[in-house]
Amino acid sequence: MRDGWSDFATGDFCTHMITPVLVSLATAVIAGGITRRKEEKNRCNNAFLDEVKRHVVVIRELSDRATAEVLVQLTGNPTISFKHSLQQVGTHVRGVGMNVEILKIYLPPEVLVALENASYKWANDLCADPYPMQKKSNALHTHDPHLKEIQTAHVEWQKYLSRFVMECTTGKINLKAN
Amino acid sequence: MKQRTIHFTQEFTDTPGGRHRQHGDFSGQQFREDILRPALDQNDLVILDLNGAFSFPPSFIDEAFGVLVDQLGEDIVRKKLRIELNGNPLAQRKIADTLNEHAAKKR
Repeated sequence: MRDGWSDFATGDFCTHMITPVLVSLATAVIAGGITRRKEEKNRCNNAFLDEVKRHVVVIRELSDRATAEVLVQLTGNPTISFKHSLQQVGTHVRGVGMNVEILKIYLPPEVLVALENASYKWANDLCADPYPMQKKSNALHTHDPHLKEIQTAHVEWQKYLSRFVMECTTGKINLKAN
Repeated sequence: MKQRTIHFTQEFTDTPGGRHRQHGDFSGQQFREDILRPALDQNDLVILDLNGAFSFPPSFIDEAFGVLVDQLGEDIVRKKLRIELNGNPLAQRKIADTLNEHAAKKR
């Protein structure tokens, strides 16, 4: 027959009492650590996702403004001078570029390259030479092909941004925090 | 009086998209046609809680709210729709301007 004292005397006390307590303690500590790390990672991922979304909304806003400004010039209903318009479009396009650049922090290189390519394509079509204002008279009563190009580029760019946000949200695109 | 509150971020998205459905998910057209217009048709008062969204692109606002004014008229929209948005004065201003512009166009 065994009791605590004989276990203690024989050294089995450690085996029967201390070891299980230590093991369960260690398990709890490790499990707690893993959970905390997971929570921390999730918090970080969510914060990164929020930042990406914030920048995408800004990119969308600036793109909207730039496209609208060019289309207004192109269709011959400008409310501001050509020079002023050019400055505004330039500012918006640069703003888009800066926000894309900031996204570098959160995106893996291959995703960033795709995003940059899509934004370049939109910006190139928007500011294609000759500048729309020079074709204004052509656009007034005819279907200027450049008008269509800009509209198509805008649609493609908007679609890309929507898909991009969706893929970041669903985890198809792994943000750098992962 | 029948009333409905639309929590934009919960029922739609926190990242509003472009103007038309062809511009991708969560467009202004999608929001107006699928959520806002049916809510206005079925209720006497719709409270639209826009808080929590990251911001609102101009084309989204124009399509969602401006076209609504074109369709229903300024009086009905102002009477039935109450927009709640705190801490984003720029978006508030954009929405107000859009409503005014479209109302002025209709007059």
